[in-house]
Amino acid sequence: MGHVRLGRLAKSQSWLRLVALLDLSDVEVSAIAAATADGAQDRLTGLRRDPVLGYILWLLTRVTTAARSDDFLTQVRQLGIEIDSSDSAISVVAKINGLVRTEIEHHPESGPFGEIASLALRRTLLESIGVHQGRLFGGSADDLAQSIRSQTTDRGFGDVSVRFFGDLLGRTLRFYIDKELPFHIGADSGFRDIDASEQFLRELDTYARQSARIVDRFASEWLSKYAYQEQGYVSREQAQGFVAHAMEKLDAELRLESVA
Amino acid sequence: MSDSQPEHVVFQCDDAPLQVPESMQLVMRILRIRSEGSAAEIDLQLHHLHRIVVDAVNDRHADLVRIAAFVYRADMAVSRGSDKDTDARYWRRRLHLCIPVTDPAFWNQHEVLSTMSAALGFLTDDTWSFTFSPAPADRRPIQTHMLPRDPYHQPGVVTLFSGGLDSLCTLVESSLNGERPVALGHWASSRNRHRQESLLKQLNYHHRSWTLPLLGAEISRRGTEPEDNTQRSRGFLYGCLASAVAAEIGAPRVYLSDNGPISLNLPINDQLVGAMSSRATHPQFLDRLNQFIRLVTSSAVAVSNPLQWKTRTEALDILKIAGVESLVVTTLSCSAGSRLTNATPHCGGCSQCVDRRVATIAAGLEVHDPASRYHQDLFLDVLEPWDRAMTAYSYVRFARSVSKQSDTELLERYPQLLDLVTPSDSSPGQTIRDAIDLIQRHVETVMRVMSDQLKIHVDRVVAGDIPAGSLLGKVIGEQVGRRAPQATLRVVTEHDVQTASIVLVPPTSPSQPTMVWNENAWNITYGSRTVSIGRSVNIARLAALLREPGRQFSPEDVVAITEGRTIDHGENRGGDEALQTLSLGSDQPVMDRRAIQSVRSKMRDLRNQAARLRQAGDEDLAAETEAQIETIERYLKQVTGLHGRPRSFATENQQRYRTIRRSVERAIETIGHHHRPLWDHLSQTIHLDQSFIYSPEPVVFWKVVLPSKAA
Repeated sequence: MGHVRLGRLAKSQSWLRLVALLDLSDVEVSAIAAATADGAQDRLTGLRRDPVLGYILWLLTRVTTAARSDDFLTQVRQLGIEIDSSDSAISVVAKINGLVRTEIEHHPESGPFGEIASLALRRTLLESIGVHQGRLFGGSADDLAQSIRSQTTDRGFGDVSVRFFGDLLGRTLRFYIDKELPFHIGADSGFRDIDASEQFLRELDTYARQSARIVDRFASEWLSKYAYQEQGYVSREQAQGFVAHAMEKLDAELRLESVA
Repeated sequence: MSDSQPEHVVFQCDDAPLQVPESMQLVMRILRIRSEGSAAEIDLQLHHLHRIVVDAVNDRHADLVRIAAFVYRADMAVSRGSDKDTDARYWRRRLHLCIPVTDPAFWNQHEVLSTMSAALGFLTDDTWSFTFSPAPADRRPIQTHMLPRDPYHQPGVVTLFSGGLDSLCTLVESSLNGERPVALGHWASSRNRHRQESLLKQLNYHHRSWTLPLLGAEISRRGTEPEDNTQRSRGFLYGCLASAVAAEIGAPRVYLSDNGPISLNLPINDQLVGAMSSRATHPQFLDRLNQFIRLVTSSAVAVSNPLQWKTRTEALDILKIAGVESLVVTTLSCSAGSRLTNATPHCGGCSQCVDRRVATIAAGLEVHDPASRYHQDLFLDVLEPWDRAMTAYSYVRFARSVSKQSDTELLERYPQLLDLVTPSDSSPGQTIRDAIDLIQRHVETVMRVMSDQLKIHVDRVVAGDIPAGSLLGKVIGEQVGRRAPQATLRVVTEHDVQTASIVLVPPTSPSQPTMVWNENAWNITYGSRTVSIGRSVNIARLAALLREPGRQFSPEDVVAITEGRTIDHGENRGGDEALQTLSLGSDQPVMDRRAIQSVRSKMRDLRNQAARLRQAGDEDLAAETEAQIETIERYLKQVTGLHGRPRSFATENQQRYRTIRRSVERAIETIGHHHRPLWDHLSQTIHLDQSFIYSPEPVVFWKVVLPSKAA
């Protein structure tokens, strides 16, 4: 691969706790996730007010609302995205990503988490197509709209939110854990081989998605409220508020699992 | 520095007036960069070894080179935080440059500024802005050392030539294609220069009809030690430099070369976000760079990467075709560079060394790139320092993970692939498919090389002589040299070696599904396929359900089983084992109506079978069948109450319920990553409502071996 810039975990008490857990051979994923959340507490708390996260959530709700409308393309164009009916689904997601990238470039204070959130957004949209259409490649812009529309009942936005926050949480946990995981593989380590470490990361993803279910009902109620009150046109501030509440719930969920 | 907002760092280049937007003035630090005088922080000279005519460097092209050089120097002057900056809080920076130029009206145009900032932004993850002012009339021009003769009437391409493998392949290929390339080297040190000169000399020797002019650009840091060494802006420097030179000599194309996987640089480790993996030739960057260059150069120069769709191994074929593979030994890929010796110029553990080593082995060119030229052995040494070990492990893990993924899974796991799609791309789906195919070819190569290394060192593997901390050691894991006392060592097959996981598996009945804990892993057989999954309490909880089809469990029951309060240690009792009643000291075993019906139906079949066997005179088999029927009858009595109705039990604690439910769901999802048919089966037959139950129709009896304690 090309040049990479790797880092380690700081030697604070909370991170040393995570390091110790990674060295044990019988620790639950939930405990490791909780320790990670503990170590990254300040940063995760800061993300509740992160402008890029707020923007991305806002964009997700607006794209969702556009899919429920009679004219998906026009509504999406109003967001500043140039699309037409000849665009493929992948092309539309790429263009949405382009918009997000411009926003990220204006907010270096987000650090890597703006990019992580944009990856979660892309995955959420791609999965929508894959889940609904059964195929990711070959779909059209209209297919994307239909996929999202099929998941944009009030209940449906809960699913979309769960997928977004689940992926965001999973990538965030991996961001930290992967700074240390390579040093806990082999004899007398927490993971017997590379395969085991890879499997652990997959379990971590699954755990993150399961944990994100906590936002499910809240997300559905939230969109339902704005769909009725504001015709689905959520403001950036309102989206930011949603992010703050969702991140708070996720944080609490991670800590709850460690107690259970 | 504020915790939340990166400060603005303003660079005053060559005493340009400080013109800074108001929004930046609150949190600002000013640094100076000079390109002239004894206190200069940057050297800027262009060298020609051969004979290319340049009457005078065009002002705009000269400005372009200066701007790129100042960007390069500024990039090194601001820290991105240390490797202990866990949150990567300081990775992204805000940089503003005040630069004197010949034509500030041109450079201050919105379109010029925005395209330049956009290209740099994607390349570096930083926020760049610029203010241009008039350069003094007496400013010294860029020093060029030229000779007056012109070897080409129409040079076809300027190709950046680092002296590494990829740029050598590009130079050779463009020569083979008759493109009349001009090589442009960046001479940050004399060592670089000598290597490039040596390679060209050897190329000219092999192909006497070729004339390969080498232009050298000496753009190097002077003065204080750099605050940051990642040099992410280097791609911009090279692109601008090459474009200026190409425009000067009339070449319509510029080549910046990286093999495809390096160019895309998908993150091999999940801490690598954005430009933490370099993007020097990423298609998105090249597209943005071209938008900028088109505005600047007087002729239409286009920058591209000719190796975009080749793996490194495939690129090396070019050298073989040209008969110059022996030059591999002279090339240098290592990022550790000058810190090493002539005998071992490669550190062996940086990302470039790892990729180079794997590629040259895969291409059959190890004789020209022997292990002895590497300071550390990638496969057998415990790599130092820590980042080398992390790189090597991540590289192989990435390959293993990707090799198991479908196109869709890969795109969902790495949505970074969407960054490949540029505004001018008319077929984005195909572009992404091509990229996925490229990555899959790359990982196949990596897996093949790892497999070959295992075979080469198999004696040491069996002897337990592979250091646990080495790359091979991490791939093989703990099972090297061990045997489970009651298990059979399965023949290590080609598949095992390729997946680098030597599995010790107890013999099983081919048709009965099994879920068996075997010291360190769960071995799961369903249908014709066996998979191995590492320790997991979730799988243990699932196994508890599978053990007794049709039985309703409370969360406490499941926990009790997996905590070993009543555990079966792996005696092979076949189908009867699933019908054993566990004494849990709490609730009675239960079964739902549907499952009871299913079991009764099976009993009827067995009775008919026993009758047929007796008629046919097969007394032994008939007796065996009747014994089975008796076992099932005993079981049914336990799980049914009055008039054969199902028993039930009271609802348990909601929090515990949720935890255990999620645990089983996770187990099923995990299995979904390994064994899709089993996932299908479990998704339809595991019910996690008020109680937990496994109720397949028809009944399926598993062989389950639980650990003595929770996994």
